[in-house]
Amino acid sequence: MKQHVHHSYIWLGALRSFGALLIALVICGMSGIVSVIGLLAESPATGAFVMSFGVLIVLVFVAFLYGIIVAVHAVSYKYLWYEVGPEEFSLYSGMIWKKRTHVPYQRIQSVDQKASLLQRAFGVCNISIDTAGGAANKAILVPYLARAQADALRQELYARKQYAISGAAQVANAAPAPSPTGVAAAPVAGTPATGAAAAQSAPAGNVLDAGDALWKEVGGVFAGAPVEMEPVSFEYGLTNKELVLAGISGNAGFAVAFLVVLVAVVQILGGLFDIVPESGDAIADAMVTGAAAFGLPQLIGLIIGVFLVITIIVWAFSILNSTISFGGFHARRRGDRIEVERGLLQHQSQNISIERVQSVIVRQTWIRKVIGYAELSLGKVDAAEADGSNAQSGNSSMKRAGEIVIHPFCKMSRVDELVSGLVPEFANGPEDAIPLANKALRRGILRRSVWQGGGFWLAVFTVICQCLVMFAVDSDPDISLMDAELIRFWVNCVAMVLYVLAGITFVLDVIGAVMWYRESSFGVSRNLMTIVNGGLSRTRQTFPRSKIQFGYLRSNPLQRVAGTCTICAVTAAGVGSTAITLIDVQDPAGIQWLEWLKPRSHS
Amino acid sequence: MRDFPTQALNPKIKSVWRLSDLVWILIVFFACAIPFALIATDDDSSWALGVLVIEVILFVILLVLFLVILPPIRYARFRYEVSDDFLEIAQGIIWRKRYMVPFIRVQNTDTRQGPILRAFGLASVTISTAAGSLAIPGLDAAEADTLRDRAAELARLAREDV
Repeated sequence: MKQHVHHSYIWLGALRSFGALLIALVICGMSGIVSVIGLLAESPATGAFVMSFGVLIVLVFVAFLYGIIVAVHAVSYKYLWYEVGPEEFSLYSGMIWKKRTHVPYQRIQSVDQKASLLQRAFGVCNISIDTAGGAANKAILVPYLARAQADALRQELYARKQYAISGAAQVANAAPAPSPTGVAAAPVAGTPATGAAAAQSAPAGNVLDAGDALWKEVGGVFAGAPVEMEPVSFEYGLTNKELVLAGISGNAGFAVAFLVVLVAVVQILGGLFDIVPESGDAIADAMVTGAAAFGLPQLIGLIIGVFLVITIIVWAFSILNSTISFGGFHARRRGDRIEVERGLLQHQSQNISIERVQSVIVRQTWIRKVIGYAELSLGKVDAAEADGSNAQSGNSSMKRAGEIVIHPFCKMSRVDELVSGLVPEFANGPEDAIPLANKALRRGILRRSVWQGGGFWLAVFTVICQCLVMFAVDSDPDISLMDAELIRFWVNCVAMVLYVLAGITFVLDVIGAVMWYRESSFGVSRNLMTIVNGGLSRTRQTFPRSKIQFGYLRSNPLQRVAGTCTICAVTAAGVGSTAITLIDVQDPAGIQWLEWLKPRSHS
Repeated sequence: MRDFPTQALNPKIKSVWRLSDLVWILIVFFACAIPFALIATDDDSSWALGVLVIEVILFVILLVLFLVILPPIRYARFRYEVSDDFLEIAQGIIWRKRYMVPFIRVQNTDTRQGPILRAFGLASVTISTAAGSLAIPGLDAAEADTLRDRAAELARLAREDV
C-alpha cells in the first residue's frame, strides 16, 4: 500500500530549500546592493527610483522563485512514497530519475528520528533507516513524517523485523541445529534484573526537562495521537548539575571562543576600513587622543577588558547552546532496544538494538577525572552518514563515529548502576584486573615521553632551529654587530619559551606514562572482557567475547626482550573495524588471553 | 606456555616469493637505472655513472635480501593451525603476530590464485570476518580447497558458544 509522507513536505520543505536559495541570492546580489547604495549617495533622486524599482523586481523574482520551488516540491511529493510490503520496506522517489530503495526487514538495524525546530513545531520529523552495511551503505532517509506516523512506522518495521527473524529461526530449528542462537537468548537472561532498578532511577531531572515535557505534551500541529510502544524497563535523564557540566564540556571551550571573537573583531575592523577609507586614520587619531587622556596602560587595559568580556559572553552563549542541545536528554531501555533522545530545539532520537552494541565505553578526560565524572557511550557498527544535509551541528563529543553517547557527564559511582540498568548484558564485568608487566613502566615512560613525546621533539626542533639561526647570524658578514646581538637576544627569548613549554609537556608525558602504567589493565570473565587504558585521561572498554571478531598478540623485538606483548581485540564497531589494544602485557597473560578467546566446546 | 601453531606452508611458496619479489625489484631497478644509463652513454658524465653504480649495488643488496635471506625466514616464521573451531596463525619476522580466529565469527572464506601461484600449483586462502580478513598465502591448490571448504563448513556448523 502506497503511503505518502506528510504534506508539510511541500511547504515546509520548500521553505527550507527556499531559505538556502535566498541566502545564495543575497550573497550574489551583494555587489548590486552596494552599487545601488553608491548611486543613492551620488544622486538621491535617481537612486531612490532605481532602488524602489529594483526592490519591486527582486520581490517579484523571489515570489516567482518560491512558487517554482513549491511547485517542484508538490510534484516530487506526488512521486515520493513508501510501502511496507510483505517482505521488504520500499521507498520510491524522484520525478525524472526514479529511485527505488528496498530493504528486507531482517536487514533493518535501527530507525532514528530527527527534527529541526520548525519541524518540531509542526509535529513532523525525518526518519533514517540504518542497515549497517558498512561504509558503502548509506542510511535511508524518509523525510517529513508526522510524529504519529513516524512512531507507527518505526514500530511496524521493528515488529516485522522480529517476525522475519523468528520465522527464520523456526526454519533453522526444524533443521538439525539444536538451539537458537545465543545472541537472541542473551538479552532475555539480562532483563529480569532491570525491574527493580527502574523504580528508583525515575526522579532525576533538570530545568530543561519541563520544556521537553511541554514539547511532548503539545507535540506540534500535525503530530497526531501518540503510538503505544513496548514498556520501558529503565530510564534516566540528566540532573541540573550534569546538564550544565555536559554543556560546558560539550562546547568548544574558552580558547576557541577567544579565537572566534578575535577573528570577528579583525574582520569587522578590516571591513570598516574598506568601506570608510578615512576611518583607519580616524581610529588612530582617536587612539592617540584617548591615550593622551587616559594614559596608554589604562587604554590597553580597557581594550583587553572589553575583549575579554565579549569573549566570555560568546563562550557563555556556546555553553547555553550546547546545554540546550542536551535538553530533554533521555536514555531508556525498551525491550531489547536502547533509545537515546536529546535536544530541546533540534530534536533527535537514536536507538540501537542490544545485539548491535559492541562495547560499553567509559571515557574520562583529565578534567572529568579530577572531578570524578565520566562520559558513557556504546560502541556500535556504523554505516556512513545518511547524507550531507543530514549531518547535524552537534558538538564534538557527540559526533564520534561508531558510538552513541548514553550519558555525557556521569558520576563514576553511578556508572555501574546505569550500565546494569540500561545494558545489563554488559554489567558484572570481570572482577580481577590483570596489571601490565613490570617492564611496561620503563618502556611506557620512554615511549610516551621520547618516541611519541611532543615535548621531547619540540625541544629537539627548537635546538636545531636555534643552532641554524645562530650559525646563519655568525657566518653572515652583512649583519652588523648590534643587529646580531639583537637577533641573538630575541632568538634566545623565543627558544627559552619553547624550552619551558617542552619541559612542561615532557613532565606531563612522564606523569601520563606513570599513570598509564598504574591504571592500565585488562580482565576477563566468562563472557566479558575489559580493557582499561589509563593516563591523564582514561578509557575503559567492556565488550563481550562474542563481539570479538578475532584477536591477536603482537610483539616487536624490544618487547620480546622484555617478555611482553600487545594484545589486540578486534571488534566490528565503527565503520570497518576497531582494534582495542593494550600494550605490554606479560607474555603468559597474553597467551592465556588467546586461550580464553578460543571457542568453548558445548560440553 | 602454549605451543606454537604447527603447520607450515608449502615449501614451494619460497620460490613464489622469490619470483614475485624479483619482478618488482627488476621493474623498480629499470625504472631508476635506465634514465641514468642514457645520460651516462650520452655525455659520459661521471656523476651519472656514479649514481648508476650505487643503484646497481642497491639492486644486488635487494636481490640478496629478498631472494636469498628473507624467503627461508619468512617461510619459517609463518605457522598456522586449523583446529575444529578456530584458526591460529603466527607470522612476522620483526613484528610478530599471533592471530586467533574463531570459526563462528567467519563470514566467508575464499581461495585466490594469481599467475605465479598458479604456475606453482599453489593457492592462497582468505578468511574474512566482520572486522577484516586474514590470509594464508601459499598452500597446495587442493589443500587450499579442502581448507576453504572445511573452514566454511566449520563456520556454518559452529554455533554460538557460552
